[in-house]
Amino acid sequence: MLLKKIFTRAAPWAFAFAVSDAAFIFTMFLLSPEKTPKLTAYILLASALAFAVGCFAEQRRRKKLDLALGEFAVNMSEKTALEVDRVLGGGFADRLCLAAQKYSERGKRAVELSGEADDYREYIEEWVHEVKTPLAAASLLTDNRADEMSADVNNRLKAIFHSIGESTEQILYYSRLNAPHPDINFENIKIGSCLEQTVEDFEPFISSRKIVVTLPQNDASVTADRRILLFILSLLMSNAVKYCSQTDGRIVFILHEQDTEITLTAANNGEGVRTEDLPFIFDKGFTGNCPNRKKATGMGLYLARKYADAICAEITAPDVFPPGCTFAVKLTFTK
Amino acid sequence: MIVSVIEDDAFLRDELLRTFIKAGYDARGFADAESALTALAVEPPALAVVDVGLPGRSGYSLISEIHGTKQFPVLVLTARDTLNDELTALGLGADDFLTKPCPAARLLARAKRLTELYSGMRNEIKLGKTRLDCDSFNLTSPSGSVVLPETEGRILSVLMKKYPFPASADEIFAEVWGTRDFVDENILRVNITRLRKNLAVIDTPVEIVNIRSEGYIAKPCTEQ
Repeated sequence: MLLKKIFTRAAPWAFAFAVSDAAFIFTMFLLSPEKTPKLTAYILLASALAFAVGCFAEQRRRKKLDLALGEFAVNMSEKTALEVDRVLGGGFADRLCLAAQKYSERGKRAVELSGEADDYREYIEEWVHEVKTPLAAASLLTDNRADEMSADVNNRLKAIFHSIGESTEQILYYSRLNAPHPDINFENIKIGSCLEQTVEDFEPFISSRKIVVTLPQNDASVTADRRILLFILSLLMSNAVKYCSQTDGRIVFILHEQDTEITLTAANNGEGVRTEDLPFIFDKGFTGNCPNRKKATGMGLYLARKYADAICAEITAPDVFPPGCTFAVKLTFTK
Repeated sequence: MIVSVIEDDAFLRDELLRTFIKAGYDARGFADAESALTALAVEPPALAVVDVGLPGRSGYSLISEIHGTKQFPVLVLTARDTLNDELTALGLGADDFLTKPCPAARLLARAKRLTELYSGMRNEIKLGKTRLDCDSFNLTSPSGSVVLPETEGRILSVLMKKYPFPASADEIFAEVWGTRDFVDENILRVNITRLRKNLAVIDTPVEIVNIRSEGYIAKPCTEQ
């Protein structure tokens, strides 16, 4: 390979020497044929030497160029560009400096875009915080003034405000996915108390639709971030409430502790998910190909998976469900 | 039991007050830290529910100020839900942290827990409308509050406890200095003078009267 390279580089020069040597040797032959053999040897030797010196010089220049290009590749600035130009012998400064300039412009644009994304993220945080105050007021209002409205109106309002709350939580957590400084704090948490809190949050839906929720008899401690765990549980609960049977809804939580892992299964008795859709349910924006699929953003399970990853847990949709259920999501924590 | 709610959003503040009133508390609302602090000093509640996002003086500075007097628990109710926010609030002296929106049941449960915890811990004597916290020697009256130096605070607490009877000099010495030996006789008189001055600073409706050969008595004043 190397030999081939050297050959292709040297060939034109070797050819030039050969042609000029041949011309001189021929001329000498014409002028004095008897001295030709000795002179031929002399000429050939001289041109071989010249060729060798040329090769050597070229090799050194190539090395210098390699170094200069190395610097340029790592940091395309005017300084490194001019150095390459110098080694090349000049004449290429304009082109090289243009390359360096475009590179620096791209770099600046990247920083700008990153700053813009940060601004967006910050604004979303502020916006969500702002909207939580009226939401809190609305939710307390429906509790406090239940006697000023019919039970039906009260339940509907509660459901509506809860739904708005869920959407704002989702966008907040979505925006935090790519935040530069993730805010994660691992601690030992008893899953039981988190489940209780989640069920408490969904109480209005559970009682108005008379959904039967089965919580695990046992409890276990996992190492996770409390807020994130509660968020994931709320996503799973929201789905379970949404999709469980309308007439006799059932949601089952099962907690299983083994030597190396703890699994929490959340199952419900709704329509279930078609087998061909199962592999995709955690994909961003996936809402299923079935026309009956309830209106959804497809972000719930995507966020659940992303945040499960963040707390080093695994979330899957197994193809076996607890008795009486048609769909389950399994959250696995390694010990 | 008084619960003070410091929240600048009018609708939310209203509902929070309603929630506490329905649960049987005497609920008072404030829209900013300054107005809250004045009222809290005059009549400390059993619990303060504070939103950190307040106009003007920040909720955090309010928490920090309340914590300084250590009179009642603070429950932070905020939309800011990051770990940092929670640690900051708790670090400044808040006793509990809840994020909005929060079901009324949870809010009331936490409030109850805090008030029960604190009522067991509070060490306070009252005389008319004046109260003295025996741990911090913070003296509160309808017209203001002041923190008394330890010696004066202990003297006042003896007098307030003994009301309507006077406390003899011996009793005061025993309670405050432990003994009358090795103690300058004047020290009681000097401290009583200082105490009177401090009481006057906030127009405390309490008068310290020296009854000859009986001792001192702290009398609540009926007129100002």
